[in-house]
Amino acid sequence: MSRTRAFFSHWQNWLSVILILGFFFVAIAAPFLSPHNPKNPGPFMRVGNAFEASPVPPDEKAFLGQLPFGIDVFHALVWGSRDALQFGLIVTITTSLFGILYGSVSGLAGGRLGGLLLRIADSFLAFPPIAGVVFIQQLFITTIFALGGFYHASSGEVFSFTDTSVSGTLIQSLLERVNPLMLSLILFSWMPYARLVHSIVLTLKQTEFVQASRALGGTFFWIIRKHLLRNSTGPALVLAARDVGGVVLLQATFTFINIGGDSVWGTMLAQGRNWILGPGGNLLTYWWAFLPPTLAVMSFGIAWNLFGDSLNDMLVPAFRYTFRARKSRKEEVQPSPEAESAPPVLTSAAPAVVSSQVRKAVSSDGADPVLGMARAGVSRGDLARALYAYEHLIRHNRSIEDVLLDLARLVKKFPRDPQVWRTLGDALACAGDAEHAAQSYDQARKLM
Amino acid sequence: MTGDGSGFSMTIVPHAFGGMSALYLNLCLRANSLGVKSKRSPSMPPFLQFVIRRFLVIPISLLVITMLLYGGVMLTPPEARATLYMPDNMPPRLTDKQYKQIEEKIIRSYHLRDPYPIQYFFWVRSLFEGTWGYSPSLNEYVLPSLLRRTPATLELAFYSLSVLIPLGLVSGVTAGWRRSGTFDRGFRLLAFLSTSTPPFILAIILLSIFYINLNWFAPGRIDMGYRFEISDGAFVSFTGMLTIDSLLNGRPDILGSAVRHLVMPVFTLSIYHWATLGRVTRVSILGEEKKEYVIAAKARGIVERKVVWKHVFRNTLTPSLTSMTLSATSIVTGVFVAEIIFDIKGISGVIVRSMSGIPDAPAALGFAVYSVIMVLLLMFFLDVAQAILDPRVREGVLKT
Repeated sequence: MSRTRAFFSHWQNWLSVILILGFFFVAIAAPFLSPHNPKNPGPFMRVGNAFEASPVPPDEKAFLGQLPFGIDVFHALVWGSRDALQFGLIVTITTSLFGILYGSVSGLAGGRLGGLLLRIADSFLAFPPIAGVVFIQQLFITTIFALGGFYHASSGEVFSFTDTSVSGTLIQSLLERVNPLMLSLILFSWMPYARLVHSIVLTLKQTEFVQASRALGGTFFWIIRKHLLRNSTGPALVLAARDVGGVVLLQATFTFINIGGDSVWGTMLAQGRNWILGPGGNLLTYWWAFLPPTLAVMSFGIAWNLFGDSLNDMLVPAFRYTFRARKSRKEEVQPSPEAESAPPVLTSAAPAVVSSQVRKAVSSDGADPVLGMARAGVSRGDLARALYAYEHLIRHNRSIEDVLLDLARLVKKFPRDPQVWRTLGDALACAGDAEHAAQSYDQARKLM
Repeated sequence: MTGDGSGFSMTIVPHAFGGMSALYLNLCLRANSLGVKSKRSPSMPPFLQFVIRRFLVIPISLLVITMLLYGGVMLTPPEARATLYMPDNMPPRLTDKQYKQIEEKIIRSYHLRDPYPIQYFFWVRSLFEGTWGYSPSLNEYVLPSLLRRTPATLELAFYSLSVLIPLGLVSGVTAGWRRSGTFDRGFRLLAFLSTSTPPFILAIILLSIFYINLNWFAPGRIDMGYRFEISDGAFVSFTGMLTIDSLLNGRPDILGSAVRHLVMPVFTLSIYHWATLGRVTRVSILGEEKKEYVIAAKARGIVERKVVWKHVFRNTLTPSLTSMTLSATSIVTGVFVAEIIFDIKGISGVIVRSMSGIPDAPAALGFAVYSVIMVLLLMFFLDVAQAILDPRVREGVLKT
């Protein structure tokens, strides 16, 4: 609750939410705000004289004026916001989902494989989007030509085939539906998400709740779904919010310089460009050709940028806070007697991350939950998991006395198991008894 | 319970993802603390190691990306792929049959119906032949065309970076050190405005004010009058960069004209990335003044200016320059966009003509490979700059 209140205590957050809601409203209500003319559908509706080469100022036909060749500014503006929102959301949602999944897999895989996956993602970071757009567009064009078709970048219909055997096939419908700019932006902007989630996962992997879940036999996908995704969505959401604006700005830029893409706002600016720069001289002589699309593009970018900032303030420090708080709390809570009823290390940890599976297992036993898991493993006869839990305790130098006692007992029980001996060696080394540790390692080596 | 062998295999199961290596590392560390010395790498200065390691990244990334690019090319039919290798001396009039014959010959000689690895190999080999294919929209081979256009792009990129990096770092540090001061507030407002103004809109505004109305600056590379002089034999082209060549030729008037044409694109390019860099620097310096090393330095009576620029600044350098490295692609894209808007005949000229619907795969593919090489080199130089400036990276303490 307090988070929501904090969110609305800054005017920037208000502004961003109002602007975004406004864009959504215009996008959804576009058919009512500015209905299509059935004769020429699409965002560019002709209301004036098709041969009028200069922009006509606002009048009763078009109350925000006309672009060259009698195109209604208001209509394009309204339908452009639908186009921008669609484009931004589709690209961002697809890239963020893929990037988050990629990052969590590579982070969790760790080691060589994780390094390789990260290396591949980093290679993608060296690919400028402009080259991607051009490349994919050329793939389309050459394919269409090789199939015996023609490509018209300027007309509404993108291409046509002279060879009728191709029309109606899968290839044609693919070429028709897929937008090269969207495809290339999706292909070349997922890496930041992957890198971000990768680094978060690497940090999370060392935390107790993930280790505990793993020790209890949580599978690879269980851990990704239950622990890692839930904890990395906050920062990824911030990135995504900023990306919606960034992607749309990039689309408008590419449209403006005629590199590809069909941003409505970008096209409006490209059409009005000569009248802004050329005979008018003054930027505001033909203000209706310049200001409306400019303000739309800029406020779209500002809205999503501010929204990302406010999400950042709301989500990311909270995320950091739980991490730091848990670390400092660990020391003071562990030996306290309350630990018996509920394992405070786990329940007070990051939000919504402790699976019920873990809670059930640890509440049955004594002080340290992981020690409890280890003992549970021994009593169930699952030596591998028990040893893993002991390893964890040794690594973090926790309850080392108990671990030593338990392991000594285990060594008596399984005198021919090298793993037990090795773990005992680790524990002894951790306790500072190097001589005995060396002996246990020796024993383990002999048994192997 | 288990016997000897299976007991071992059971322990591996929970470690299935990376646990093994962590365990191994742990054991090594413990062995180290017990007095067992691990082998150290041969004595090479850490800085050199860093540079070599970073340089080796370039071919690896290039390999991954070219494999991916050719994977994209593989989606097209073999007839489309054949355009990558079309010769430049095609007869002007060809019947369909003759064209098909040439196409078939190319398909056979470059193995365009074979599996991916073979095709990829032949394509990479053709890259080393130094033509990169004949582009129908440029009417010349792609690589020479790219090389000829490179100096203009490099000039623009160099001046933009040398404006924006120092400016971004200095303003970020100054704003972050006095948080919520007058400078900080002004900085934040300006940074916000410049990140939310798309470069192409800024370009329109600049062109309208400074070119159309005031005529102080101009698009293009050089004034019309000088263009003929430059292509004349008297003006020797050493580097292809006009600002340097004009000095070497002793022509300050040409230098003036070249600078006049560079101001607007450099400003447009650097303002956007300046804001991003400045913001990252500002955030990374926040809270630094409460750290112990700062208090210690102040307690010893070191002047505050020195504390900031000798100690704090260097500590915050790594995140700033790393963020710069990560946005190298957006800088290069920005350079191309600025070139197109301000009509500078740079590398982006290779693709502009083919965008109107002419099938020109060699230009697009060559442009992609070339711009990736540019980005990788830019990343490399930024990394090296970071290593030179940051003692922790230089001495190999901090692995980045």
